[in-house]
Amino acid sequence: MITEIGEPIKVGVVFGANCIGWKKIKPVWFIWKEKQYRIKEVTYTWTNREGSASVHYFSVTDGQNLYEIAYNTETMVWMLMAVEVEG
Amino acid sequence: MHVDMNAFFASVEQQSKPSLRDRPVAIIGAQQRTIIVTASYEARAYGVGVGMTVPEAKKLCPHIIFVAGNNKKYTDTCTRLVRLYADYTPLVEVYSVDEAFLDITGSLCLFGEPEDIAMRIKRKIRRGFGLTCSIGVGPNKLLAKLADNMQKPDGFTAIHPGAISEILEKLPVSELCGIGSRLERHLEAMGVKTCGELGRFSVKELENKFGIVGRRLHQMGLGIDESLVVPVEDTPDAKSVGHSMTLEKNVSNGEDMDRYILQLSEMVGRRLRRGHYSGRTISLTLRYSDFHTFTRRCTIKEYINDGFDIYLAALDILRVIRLKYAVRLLGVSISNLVTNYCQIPLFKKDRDRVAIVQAMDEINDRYGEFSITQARLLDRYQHKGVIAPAWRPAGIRRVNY
Repeated sequence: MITEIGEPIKVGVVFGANCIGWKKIKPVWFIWKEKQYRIKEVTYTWTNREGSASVHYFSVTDGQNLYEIAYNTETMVWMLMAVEVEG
Repeated sequence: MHVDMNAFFASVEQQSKPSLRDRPVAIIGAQQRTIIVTASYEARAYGVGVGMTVPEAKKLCPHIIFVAGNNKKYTDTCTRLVRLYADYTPLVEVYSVDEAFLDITGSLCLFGEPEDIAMRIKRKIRRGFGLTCSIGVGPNKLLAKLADNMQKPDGFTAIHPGAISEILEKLPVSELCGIGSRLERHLEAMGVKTCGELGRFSVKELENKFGIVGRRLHQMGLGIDESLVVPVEDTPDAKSVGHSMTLEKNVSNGEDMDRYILQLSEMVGRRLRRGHYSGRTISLTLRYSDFHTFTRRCTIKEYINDGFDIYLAALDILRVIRLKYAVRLLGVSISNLVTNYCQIPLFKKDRDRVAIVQAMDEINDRYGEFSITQARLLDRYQHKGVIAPAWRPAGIRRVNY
């Protein structure tokens, strides 16, 4: 079941990493509601133009659930866009 | 070379969501009234195919998983794939969101045999996106696409010039790109079932039956195709710009339709202005609840690109249509296009209007589509749309979904 969230999060990112979709950054953890989630796999990435901003989307999993996180280059804010809970 | 991404949308979703991998998946539109857009190979094994309704697919494969498509994901992937192909040749033609032709004639001295280039591309796609593709190589586009279709998924086939006649001899004509079921029936009625028979058939008789297409059919039967690989930047100017949408529910009164037409007209106007186009033939397409579809046009004196002017012209068309049934789909398009047309407004009212449209464009460019719009469109229909066959990663044919 997919739940849309749309809340800002803190993200730990490795620059220069080899991420799927040839993204130059690879998120490795994020903190949402004071809980840290370790990212096991970045499963897909894509970029969307939203006005003058580029928004980089990362589909990530902590091994249990699937999360969609996004980085807005204009506001420099990371957001948790959606969570898909298994089952 | 022809590259075809295997079950593209479904494969992207299976890569994105590990829980979908190796399971039957069908991609559907985001709206309620939708059909299957793509099915994974696991679902195809049950007979699920493109264009089926959700209940039809469920009947064939009860445990199928339906996923609402994400057009932004697919169009961005296509854009990045084109960049990957450009590492091997500047001559890349985007045939559709999941297919491309590459002219690698001039790349052979740099990268080796066609098979080497194909394997490099396949490896890069696999590593970079987690996706598979089929690649076909041939002396022209027709044969490259034919080769591609011979081995799917994740295949590679090359048709060498010496093998063309042997391959085509017993190949059904329907295997050739461009020969659909109707044309196939016409050819069958003339006693032509295979490409070999088509190549030997009298050109005159084919021309008598099909007009100028007849000669082209004859050449196709012989495996001849002289069309060039046309890169995006050399794509001819658009002949029309349009948008359509299947409505959330059927509508039958003009007032409800007005708002949809205004929304579509504003979308058309934005794309026109972005590409510096103006047009003066406005078309309104309606599809009734019984799926009967028709288009009415009107040509006005002035070239326009303001969404509101397009809307007024479309409303004039709507007013003369006597609706027989409720409407399930509406489309607005504009043709008879010119580029960089500019009529200097004479009156203050017109100058103000131009200034308003320009200011709104600047705001929407910065903050995204419909950030500022007509008050009537504040609660507009959040239509996700489908990726049009004419979609391209750049130019006027690029639509941001």
